[in-house]
Amino acid sequence: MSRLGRLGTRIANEQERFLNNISTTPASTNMGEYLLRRKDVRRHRRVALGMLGLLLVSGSGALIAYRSQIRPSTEITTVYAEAGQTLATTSSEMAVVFTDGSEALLLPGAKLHTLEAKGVKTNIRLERGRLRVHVIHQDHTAFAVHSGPYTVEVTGTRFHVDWQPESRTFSTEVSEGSVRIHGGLLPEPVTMQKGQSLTLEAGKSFPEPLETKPSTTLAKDPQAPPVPTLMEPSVAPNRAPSFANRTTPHRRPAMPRLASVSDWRSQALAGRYREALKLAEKHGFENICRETSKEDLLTLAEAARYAGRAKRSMQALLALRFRFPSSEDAALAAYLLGRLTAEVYNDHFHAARWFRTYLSEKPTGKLAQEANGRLLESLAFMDRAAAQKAAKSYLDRYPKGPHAPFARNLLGL
Amino acid sequence: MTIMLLSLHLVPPYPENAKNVVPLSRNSAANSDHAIMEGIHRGEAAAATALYHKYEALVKRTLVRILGFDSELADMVQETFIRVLGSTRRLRDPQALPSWILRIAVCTASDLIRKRRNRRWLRLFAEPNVEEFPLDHLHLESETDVAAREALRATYAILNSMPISDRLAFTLRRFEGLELTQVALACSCSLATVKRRVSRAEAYFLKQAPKYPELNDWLDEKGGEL
Repeated sequence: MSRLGRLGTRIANEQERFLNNISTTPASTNMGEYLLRRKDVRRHRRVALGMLGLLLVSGSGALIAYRSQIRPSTEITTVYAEAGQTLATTSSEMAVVFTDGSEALLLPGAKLHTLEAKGVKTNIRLERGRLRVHVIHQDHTAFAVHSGPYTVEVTGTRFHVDWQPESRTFSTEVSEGSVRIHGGLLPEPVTMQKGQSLTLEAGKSFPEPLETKPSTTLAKDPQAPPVPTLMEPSVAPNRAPSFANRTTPHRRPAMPRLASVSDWRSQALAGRYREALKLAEKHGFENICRETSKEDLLTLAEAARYAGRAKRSMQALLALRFRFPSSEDAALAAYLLGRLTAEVYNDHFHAARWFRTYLSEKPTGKLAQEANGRLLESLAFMDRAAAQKAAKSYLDRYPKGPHAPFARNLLGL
Repeated sequence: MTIMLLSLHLVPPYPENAKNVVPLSRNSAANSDHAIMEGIHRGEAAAATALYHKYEALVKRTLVRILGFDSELADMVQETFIRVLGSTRRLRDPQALPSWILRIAVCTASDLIRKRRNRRWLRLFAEPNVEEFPLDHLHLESETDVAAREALRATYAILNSMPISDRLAFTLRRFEGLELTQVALACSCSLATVKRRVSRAEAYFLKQAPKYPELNDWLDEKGGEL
């Protein structure tokens, strides 16, 4: 027998000597009952833990689903419209910039086809979903949105259009200026003013319209075509089908308050732009764009620009223009967009458009001289004749301006 | 699983010349494994009691071989039986019950060692030292008893520093005297693996043993009594 064999035998023998003296059974206990009870307790505990785990997993799933629902988009992409384009969004939003400087925001789930986009003439077809439009008023502007059988014609305004092809529901809301709607089931063209909304839905009864009364016969006939409803927001606050009294096309669930806005802002104000942008992205750049003030949007755009993130900067500026369209800062955003487009992307065609947008919104603004000069620079890259015309105009207005030598050079003076 | 259980059943739980053999099957009608299992399936406390009394010695002995005289021995015996009662539905052949219980006892001991090592690794609790083993209450009076106690402590001190899988294979093979095939089944691994583990554990043990003078006599070619 080996050494370890002998050792094992001796250890086993020694243990055997004491084994019988060690009791592992509790005195006066029915072991069977005791063990079965403990087994049941353990099983119940496992079941409870399993259910708790299941509850946690399903709760987390529900929370994720809820959060994804209340955050419909993750990023706004910017597209410059061209004729024949088809643009569609799924969960994100898309900003479309037209040749005349007008803008449209394609909300999630929407599809748009560009029929014509040339100069001040724009024809688009909204295949489905919701569109927010801001048309820049210029001489001879002709901007039309076709959705289903309806056409919305505008010359300069802000409005929303929604078209649901499945239910053949058309709705629009004018927030600025006026639009003219015709086609489809409208017996005659309807002109809508600021604050009015119109809903056309098949197979439903509608409240009495204020400006266009539906035919009683049509309303009672179930096979009848939809009846137009035109409502003033002040008198129809409870009418569900309309978008009256709403300031945004889809009322989103309340977003969680951003607790850390001041964090990125303080970093940006302290000149730590990269850190500011990192914090902003960590806490949801898109949500900040949706919620924060216009001043903060400008700060965010500047921080992104200095951090070398031109795309983020443009995103913040576009958000500013969409959310605060009538503000001074919206015009400033147009100017900054022009600078970014020219300096970062060398896209002088679109840069010129942004400078023109600024000048059309603020012809005598603080930055008008600078915008004119930069417009001159951009035009010089593309069209010498147009650049010379602009140079002449610049010299007439600002003979001692910073771009005056450049303008004279263009004119050969 | 069925094939493994059948194999377990085909191999006698203990070799004929094994030490300290406790009969695993007494074949009495009242306490036959089949009757016990049926009773347990019906939730009868009497059947659980019969199972406990029939296999307590086997479980206790297996745990002592692996853990030594551990302060948690009573708890581990009960834990083993709770696990057995919770898993009887998976045992299709009642005749394989002894081998089934043996495997569960080995797993229970293994889990305890692993749990203690994890705690030690976390530095939250120290693994109980071999000195904590409750041998003092056994009223060891003679010199031989004291020497045996010291040798046992030294042995388990070495085992405590050994990998768990090696320790299981070594103790079942050398202390309990199981055949290698039985060790393989009890440890749920292949025969080749068990051979490798036993061989590695033996080499380790012999390398560590000189550090403990208490083991000199026990490992000496001439020393010690059988």
